[in-house]
Amino acid sequence: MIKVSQVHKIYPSSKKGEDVHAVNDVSFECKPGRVFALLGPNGSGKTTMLRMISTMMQPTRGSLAVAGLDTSKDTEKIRKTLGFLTGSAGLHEKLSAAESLEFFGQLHGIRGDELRKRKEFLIERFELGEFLNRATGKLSMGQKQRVMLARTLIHDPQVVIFDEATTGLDVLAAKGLIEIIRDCRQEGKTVLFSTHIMGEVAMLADDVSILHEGRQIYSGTMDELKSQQQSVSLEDEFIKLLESATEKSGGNS
Amino acid sequence: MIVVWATFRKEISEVLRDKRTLLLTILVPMVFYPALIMLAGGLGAKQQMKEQERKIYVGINSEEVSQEFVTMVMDQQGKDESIVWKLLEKETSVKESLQTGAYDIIIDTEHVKNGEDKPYYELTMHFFSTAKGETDLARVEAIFANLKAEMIESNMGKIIDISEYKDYASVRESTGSKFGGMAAYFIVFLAFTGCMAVAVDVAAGEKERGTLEAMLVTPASFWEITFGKLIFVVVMGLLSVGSTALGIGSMVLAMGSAVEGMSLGGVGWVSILGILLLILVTVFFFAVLLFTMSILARSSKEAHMRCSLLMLLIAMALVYCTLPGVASTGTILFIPVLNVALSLRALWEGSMTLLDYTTVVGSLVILCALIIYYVDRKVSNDAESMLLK
Repeated sequence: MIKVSQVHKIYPSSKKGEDVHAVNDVSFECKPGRVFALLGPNGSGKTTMLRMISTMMQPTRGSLAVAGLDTSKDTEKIRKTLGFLTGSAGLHEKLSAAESLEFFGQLHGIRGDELRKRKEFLIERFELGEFLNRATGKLSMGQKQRVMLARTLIHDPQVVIFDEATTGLDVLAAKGLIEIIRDCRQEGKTVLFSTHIMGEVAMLADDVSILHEGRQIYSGTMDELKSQQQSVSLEDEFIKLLESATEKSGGNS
Repeated sequence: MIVVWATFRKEISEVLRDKRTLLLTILVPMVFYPALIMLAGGLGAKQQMKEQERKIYVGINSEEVSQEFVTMVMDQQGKDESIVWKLLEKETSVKESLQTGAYDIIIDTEHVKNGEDKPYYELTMHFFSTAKGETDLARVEAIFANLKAEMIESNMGKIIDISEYKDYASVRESTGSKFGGMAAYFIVFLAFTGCMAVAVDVAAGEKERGTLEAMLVTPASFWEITFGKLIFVVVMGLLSVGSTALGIGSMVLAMGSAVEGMSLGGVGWVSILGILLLILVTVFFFAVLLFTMSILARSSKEAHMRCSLLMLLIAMALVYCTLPGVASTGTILFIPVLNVALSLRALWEGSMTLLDYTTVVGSLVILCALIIYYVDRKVSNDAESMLLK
């Protein structure tokens, strides 16, 4: 479970000028066995929000809790329960898939038989066998994505975060990732994913929060969003919400 | 042609908007390199002048020396006050006088009658064949060469001849002072380049590729990951030094006597251990410094540029260390790179004191601790801008 309460993230301006409010008074809850979609255009504060949840950054104000633990105090414990995959993440290209899983397992403190069994499970689950010992730098995008997913789940985390993880993937690879997200929900994990693709949200999300220029302009269940829908498609509804928020905030973005 | 021109214009536009690249590729070379060359040239010239003006003491063995010779030599004192001529007291040990530094050169004279009743002096030069000792010897030889020329000109004929040289330096002192500076240059420079080759990649490279973020989101702490990386950089730095030492060592063995006088003869195991420990500490210092510079850079390109500038600075500092008369004393003991290069030479020639050695190693360890403390503060206060893309 993830609980975000009135979180602000302010970056001090590098030049003389106003500070940048990357995240401005955002609150939401992600529950186990449900998929939460964090939606917003580029630069809306999604990545900053997810990095704060994953303990990589600290909020300027407000509080964040993962599995009941405070992200500012229980960093190590939270990281043990958390899997985080970003679209910009890379692989150690000289290592093979097997070595990569081994290394990340060790970083998570998994050893011996436990690590071996977990590796075997993930190799089968993500069908890594055919290229297991090949350097990951020589793999296709789809194969790399499967290795990264296996790496993210090596410690069987209860909370999984995907930050625009389908970016740059072809249709088949993106579909594979969507299936993994569904599986995670079925296993009772808490899943939080960010995207700017409405189609993915419609397919996967149980709950939705929309960010725009750091502010939360919508928060609710997917069913509620659909019931309030006035436009023809969800895509149009998303754009309408963004335009309305832009008008309210002064209209020059 | 339009495409070529358009592409060229695009590249120019991009680079003109990249202030850091502009600064590092145009402004820094324009200002920094000439300043560095001027500084190095100035320091070199100053050091050479200092060497020429350094006071040296020349002892004349007073047994059987003629008053005429003494008067002739003492007259030189007025021409060059930096060379002090003194008559050696009776029963003074030549070796001891040279070893204690009471005299830099000692001259024995033998008055040879050549049948025509003209005075004729055969000289024996007692000296230390270290780099400093040979400089001193050259200065004294120049005096005698002048004297001889004057005598020939005034039709007095050849009256002075240096017939024998007696060297009191051990093989260790001699080779250490002659080759120690160059060896230190290679060791320190290779340690730096060996570390640099990998430090940029494991810090800035991993940050750029997004693999560092993936590692940092695990329960492993920043310092656990960093120390793992630092150990790797140290090993690579040591390998770089070791493989070159092995290569040069094999070459020297293969060439045998071709590299005359180059020998480690007489360097005891304590000094060898001291050299190895100093190399280890130096490589660790470079690893910490380069890792910090790389992790603070925004990209691999920026990290490479910063480290290359530092490499140039280090190369200049190492050249300065090879100049005669530059020794590991005083404040130099606290200046990184200079202190290491000079200490390595001093350890080889056997002139390093335990106190100086401890000062050099201690100051490097303290510097490493300060850099690590700075990085720790920076990570605590601003981890996101430092570690994330």
